[in-house]
Amino acid sequence: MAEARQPRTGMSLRRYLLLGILLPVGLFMLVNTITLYRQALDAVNTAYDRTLLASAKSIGELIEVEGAGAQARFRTNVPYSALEAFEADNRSRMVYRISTAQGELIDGTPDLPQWRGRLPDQGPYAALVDFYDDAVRGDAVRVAVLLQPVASRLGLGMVTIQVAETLELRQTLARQILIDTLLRQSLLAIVIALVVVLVVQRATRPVRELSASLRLRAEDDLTAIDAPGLPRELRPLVDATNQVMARLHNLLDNQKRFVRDASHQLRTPLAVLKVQVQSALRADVPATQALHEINRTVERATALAHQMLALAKVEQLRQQSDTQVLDLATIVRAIALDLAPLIADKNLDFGIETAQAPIRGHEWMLRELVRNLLHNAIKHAPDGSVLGVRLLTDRHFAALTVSDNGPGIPAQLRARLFQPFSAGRIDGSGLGLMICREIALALGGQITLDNRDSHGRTDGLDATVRLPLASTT
Amino acid sequence: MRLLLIEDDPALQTSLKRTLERRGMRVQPCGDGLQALDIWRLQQPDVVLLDLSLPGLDGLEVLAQARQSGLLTPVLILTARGTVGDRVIGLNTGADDYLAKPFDLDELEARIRALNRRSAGAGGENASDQVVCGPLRLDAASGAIQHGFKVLDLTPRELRMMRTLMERAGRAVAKEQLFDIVFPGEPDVQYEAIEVVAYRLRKKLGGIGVTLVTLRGLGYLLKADG
Repeated sequence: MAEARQPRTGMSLRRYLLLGILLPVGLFMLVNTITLYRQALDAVNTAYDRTLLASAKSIGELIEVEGAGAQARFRTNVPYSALEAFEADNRSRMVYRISTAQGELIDGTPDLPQWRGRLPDQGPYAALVDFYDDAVRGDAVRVAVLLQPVASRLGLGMVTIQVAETLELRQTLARQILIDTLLRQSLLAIVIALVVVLVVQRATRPVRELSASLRLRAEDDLTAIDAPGLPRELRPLVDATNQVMARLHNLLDNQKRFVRDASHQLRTPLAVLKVQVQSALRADVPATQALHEINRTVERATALAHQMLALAKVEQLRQQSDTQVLDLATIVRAIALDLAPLIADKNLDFGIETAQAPIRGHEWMLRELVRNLLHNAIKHAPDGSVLGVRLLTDRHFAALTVSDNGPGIPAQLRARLFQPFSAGRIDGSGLGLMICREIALALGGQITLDNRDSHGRTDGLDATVRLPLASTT
Repeated sequence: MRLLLIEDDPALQTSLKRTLERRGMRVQPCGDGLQALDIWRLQQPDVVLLDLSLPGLDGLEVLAQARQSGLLTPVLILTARGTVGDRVIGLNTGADDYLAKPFDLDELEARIRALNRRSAGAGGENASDQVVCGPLRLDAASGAIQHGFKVLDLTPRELRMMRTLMERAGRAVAKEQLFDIVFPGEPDVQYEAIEVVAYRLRKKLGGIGVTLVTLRGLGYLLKADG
């Protein structure tokens, strides 16, 4: 028991809780992070788009026009400082392009491609404004486009103003937001994991302590487990274990007693034999008398050996499943014929009545059961008395009753009836009854021994074995 | 009667040989399976006593080989393996009877004589063994039952019943089996008729030293008194 190998078990409680809690929490955090990042990005874009638009508008203020329609001539005077105000830092660069409605460059850089889009039907801004992504000399840019009507005393016209800004700032800001979010979420995950590990550790500590104390137990220590600190949920497990321990303890006790008694019982006839032989050799008793005594001793030892082996065999057969359906009546009659010489020797008034009784079991078990029952009865029946065997069946059970006119069972023996070798027995070892009971139990039945009393006297004993009938299907 | 005793335990071999020879049998002991087969073939004994656990060749194997080579000698198996399984195997392999160790010497002698009688009755040479029970003797030649110099006055049915019981004296015979022997080919007769025969027989046997025991519902048994 101390060497018990770690059996294949389910997942550890700690891992179970960690996975069970961290997995959903982690998933939720991931979704949360992505959403947060997106929202932050949107907010940043909107804010920067606004400044971009503002710079486009301020450029629009600086345009003058002469003439109207196709003859309109535009003049611009955009100083560098006009844009500088809108540059958020020195990393992003701003460029602009002013062109006529027909796409003719009026001012600014020709590197910024002419806007050819259509205005959105209902953008977030007033009409004539749009934003889009583009590239200037290979750098990605964000562009605000403004269709600006220009009016002055000298004329009226329409220009397209595009202002582009490189993306460094927006990207830096977005990265910053992402890192901040991720840091905060990981911190949360770590805290949760630590708490789970700590709690599980604390919760399972009594279990580990109990296991350790069980492992350290002496091999034959089967006393009940005492674990006061154990969580209430584990109480049933401990109770069940204690019950198993109690049963094992009982079994072990019985087995110890059996081995002790059995070795005593086996040694006794050998000792007796030795004395008998030696006293015959020294001519203390006449040889014939000694031999008769020896013969009786040998018979006793033979019967004992047979019974002990029978008991072991019951245990062995109980594990095997190769049973068959047998007619108990046939077996009872065959055994009765076998034992008839013993019945005749005691001049018993013997009678038998049997009904067909199909029983599922091993033939040897049934024969041994019947033989022991009948043999016991013959042994205890007074010379010339009545001995009856009756096998009856009802719907589900067969009942085999052997009735003798013997002394019955004295009250003081009743408690130890099925214990072998109990002191004060008048019938020898008592193994016969134990064999009967073991077989009856193995076949799913039971055995009862009842004194037949009339007018305060015991007339004899009814030994009844009830066995379940084999189902006919 | 010549016996072949195949048994490897020297103590048992010696005592069995001694006691069976005292009872008028000639015993050839042998402790080895292979050797035993040769002796069996050469000497053609009347009955073979066969122990199951042998060195050289297992007892069941000896029996199987003997039967295969056409040896029909009746075989009585002696063994300490007292299980039904062995019993069935033994009889299926061609054994004629079975006795579990430890056994009673009288029982052994009775079984040996019964086997010998059976083979003699089936055309064997040796018919010298007599069926006796107490003071009664079954005359092999006439089939009559003799009490001293007198012949018992029995009806044919009573005689058939007595013969069967005497051949198995001391052991019980089931009433169904007796019925078939006493009323052969008479299906109209009631089962109870056997009780009438037994009743008359018991009266005729009164006071001559044998008892016909009735096992109600089971059968009958003849035993010598005393």
